[in-house]
Amino acid sequence: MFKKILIANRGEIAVRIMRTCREMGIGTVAVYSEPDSSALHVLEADESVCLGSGEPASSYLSIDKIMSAAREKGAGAIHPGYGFLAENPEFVRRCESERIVFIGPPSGSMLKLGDKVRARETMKKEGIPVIPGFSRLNAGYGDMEKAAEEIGYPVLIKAAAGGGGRGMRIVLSREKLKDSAASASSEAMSAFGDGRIFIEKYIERPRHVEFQVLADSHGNAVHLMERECSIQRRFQKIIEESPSPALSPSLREEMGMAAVKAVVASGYVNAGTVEFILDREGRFYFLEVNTRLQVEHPVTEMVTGIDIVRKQLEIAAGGKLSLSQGDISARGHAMECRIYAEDPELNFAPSPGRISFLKEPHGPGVRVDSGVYGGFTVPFEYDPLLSKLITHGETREINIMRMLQALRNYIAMGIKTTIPFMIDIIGSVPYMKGEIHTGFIDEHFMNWRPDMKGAELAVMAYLADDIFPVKKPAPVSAGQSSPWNTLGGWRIY
Amino acid sequence: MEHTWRLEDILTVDYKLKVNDRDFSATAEKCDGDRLRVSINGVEKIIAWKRISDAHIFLGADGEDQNLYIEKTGGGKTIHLNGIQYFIKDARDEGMKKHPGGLKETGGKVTPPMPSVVVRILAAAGARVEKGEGLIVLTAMKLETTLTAPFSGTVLSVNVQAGDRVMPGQVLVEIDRDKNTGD
Repeated sequence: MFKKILIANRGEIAVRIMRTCREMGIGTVAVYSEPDSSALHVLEADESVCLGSGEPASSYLSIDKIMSAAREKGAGAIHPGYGFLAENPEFVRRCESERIVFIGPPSGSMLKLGDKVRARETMKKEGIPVIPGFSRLNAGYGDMEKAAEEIGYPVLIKAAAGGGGRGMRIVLSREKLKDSAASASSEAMSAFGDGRIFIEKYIERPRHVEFQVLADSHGNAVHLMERECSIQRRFQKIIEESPSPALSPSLREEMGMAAVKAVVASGYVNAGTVEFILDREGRFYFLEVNTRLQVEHPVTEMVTGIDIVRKQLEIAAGGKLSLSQGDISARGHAMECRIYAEDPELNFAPSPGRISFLKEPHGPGVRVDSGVYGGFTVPFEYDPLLSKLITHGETREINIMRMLQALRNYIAMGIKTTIPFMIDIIGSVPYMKGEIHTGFIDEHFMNWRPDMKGAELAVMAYLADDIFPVKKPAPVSAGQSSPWNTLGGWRIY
Repeated sequence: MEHTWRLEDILTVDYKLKVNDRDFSATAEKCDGDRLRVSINGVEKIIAWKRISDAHIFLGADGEDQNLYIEKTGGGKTIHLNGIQYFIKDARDEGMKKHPGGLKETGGKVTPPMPSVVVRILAAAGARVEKGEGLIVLTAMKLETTLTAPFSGTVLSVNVQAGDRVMPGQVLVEIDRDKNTGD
């Protein structure tokens, strides 16, 4: 096993990876940018290295700087987390050539799968169903327009190097194709350094169901069941759960087998996720393989009891999977709400800034994977994800109530968060019934406003706070003597 | 413990409050110890309360206890209760900001709502723009936002370039409003 690893990431995922490292006795090296000098991942690491200014290109995306930090600190391996360099084959190749273990798949397999277009072709050959689409990447606009006509509108534009909704657009008609293609391409260029896009048939009211897989370098592969991630905003998953309310045991088995086949066919090693679109008739289509640890991996950890980061480290160190498919079972229901620094009352505008007060929820079955703390200034340079709130319960019904309580007891001040929005989604009748699909938010929560039923109590609190203002400095009740008010001018240095 | 009554203890204070956009008229009066007599829109109540910290109040009303969290925000207070936020301000404070963190476009001066980086400039000085037309594309927290013309008019100046870091209050684009349109 490694003695020390470098975590080439920031925020909650870097902190989460460090937790498992500490349990395993592995030293941790954090890297950070100037605005992140007091970020939680820096405080949690054994050692840290400043990479440069806030722009990702000169810090978290700088391969040269990260490689030299790893050499300087003597890290035997690099965990990329998600985002940034996690799915950059160039970075993996550098690790391979400099003999630092990349905790993830080999570059060849990443190349094959990371390019969504090539991945589609690989899966098609394996007999795994794919969505009809047009994927000639260097085609001119004219060819793309013609193909879109043939596939039939609405079509979906996607970034070849994409993920997480960046560079994605739904196009309803031909008139909108050109503008959408240009803006998708520019967004993809700035997010991934690759502006190539492709189009596919847009399936209406689909569910997003993905399978977590683990594959070792000895040819063993298993899946750890599914996660349903249909609740999305701007193509970003915001709520994930397992098991999916839509899967029968036989469909689960069929999709799980397809997922394992997909990773074996592409020579995949380490933890990965095979994403599928599930239509209303229960037909599933391969979407893509995410060649990284996913944001929503804790959902799977909660139902299976398996620490996925530990498995990643064991596999990267050359270990054999100690699990066979028959050993893996899921218990109860787990769900995750992503807590973003966004103002849900202002069209989800980013809300960076200083967190003046923070109280996270606790209790049985409640887990918070957080990258922030009270007093931390959330920088505007990066993703707005502050933390993930994960709950586990015996049944979906019980767990929804558990999540609602946890959300109501999650207090963040100084910035806006998506918590009030989450509460109304989770508590809504269609969500509770499990009638979810990727257009759920547009269908039910388009002009969302919070329920102000507690306004009168809030007024009472306002009055109490106003009538009895906070005394400064902290009051010492009269008549009682304290060494601090009898000391006078004396101070001991 | 003995309590000495002082003049301020027996004063009733009147309030005209706005919770988001709902009006509340209220009075509050200190009772003994930790209790407060309040009247909200004409309904009287005795509430028990305790300050747990600067930000945290424990409040009992109508036989139920609640934890509430209080944050001072742009011209008022934001009360956090059961995950929902209530922005409360004194309705008599004129000229206060409507809501904290709002998109600010004062007159023809277009300024970003948050710290961000300029991605693209869509308008050139001297050009005519229609209301709602894109002027400048910004990025913050990996999300692109387009600032649009608040009304139809002529672009007087574009003061930034792609790649610039910009802050709220900084004037990015200035527009001379058309005289004949109502919007």
